[in-house]
Amino acid sequence: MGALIRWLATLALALIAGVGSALWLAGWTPLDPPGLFRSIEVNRWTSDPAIGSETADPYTRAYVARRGLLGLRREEATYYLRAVDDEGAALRADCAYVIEGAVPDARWWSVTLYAGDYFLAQNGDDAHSIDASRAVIGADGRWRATLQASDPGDGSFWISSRNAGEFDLLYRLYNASDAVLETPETALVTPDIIRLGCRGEDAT
Amino acid sequence: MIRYLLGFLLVAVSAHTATLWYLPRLAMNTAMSRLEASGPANQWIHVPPTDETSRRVVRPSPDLLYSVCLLDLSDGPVRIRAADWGDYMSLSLFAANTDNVFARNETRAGGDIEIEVSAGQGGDVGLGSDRGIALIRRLAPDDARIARADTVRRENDICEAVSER
Repeated sequence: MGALIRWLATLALALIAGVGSALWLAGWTPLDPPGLFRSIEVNRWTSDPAIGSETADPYTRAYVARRGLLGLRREEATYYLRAVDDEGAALRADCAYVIEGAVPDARWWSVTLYAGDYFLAQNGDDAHSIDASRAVIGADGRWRATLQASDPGDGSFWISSRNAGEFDLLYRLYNASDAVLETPETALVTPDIIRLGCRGEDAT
Repeated sequence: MIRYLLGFLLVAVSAHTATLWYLPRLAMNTAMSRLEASGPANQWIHVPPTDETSRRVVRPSPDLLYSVCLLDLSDGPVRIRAADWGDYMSLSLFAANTDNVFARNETRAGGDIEIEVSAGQGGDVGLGSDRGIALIRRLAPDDARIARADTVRRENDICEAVSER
């Protein structure tokens, strides 16, 4: 009887450990798994060239299924994710940011804000993204947008973070050039995210 | 003690591997079940413009207009046409394990994208599974382009079983 109980306990613990570790390492828990979606990192924007590919390893395939289902393979689109500002602090709805960058070498690009549940923030502001067709390129060759919970009202392009809590940004590049695909570390230009200030602290 | 340790490792590794195999299929099955509730298989569902109420599939783009077809190839191949509309468009196919087995845009296709999809090796594309998802993305970040893309897709996109032709 004692041996049977020990075996049952061992098997139960093994099941919990096996399933739990798979859920964690594949990104199916709120905790970010180590390493996944980080095989490419450019200016804190991270990606994985195996998205959508038959060659994706089981962890990447399960991760994409949870956090980016129906993503396109790299020949058509590449995806870069970022959840921190230029100082490494988590992106939060109670902070204001300027996001700006040069124009990437791709047919089309966009930056979209997603809430912690991986969907668009539920705020009714209809200001979830900026894309190549709407971005205004300044004299310095860069586009800019204000990223905060309320419309800045200063004529700048606004991306709303209202009701987003801690959020992330997805940088889409469609039909990127061969150079961007093969050597993103040198060929890809990525947006900067400059924190202006957070509620309850002085703007800097 | 060694027996318990070996038993633990054997079951833990097996459960770990099985879970990793199952999770993508679970996600696709969930997405396909949601599509099934919206209409029959092998027929385009022209999704309304994306907003914060779009919650069937994670990370939708508000700048893209989606059309989606739940593929059921168990009775034979399916014919698909994604109609050219003069701006960016892609047709992509996803197998039951989430693999993006096919992706082509209108530039590479030289206009309309037309293919025949089968579960196995026949047709232009073999999906590798009986069920899957076909998806058209059209770049439409403003009302004018949404209206134009919507007209074209409703008039000219095709997703139908070949046996129905």
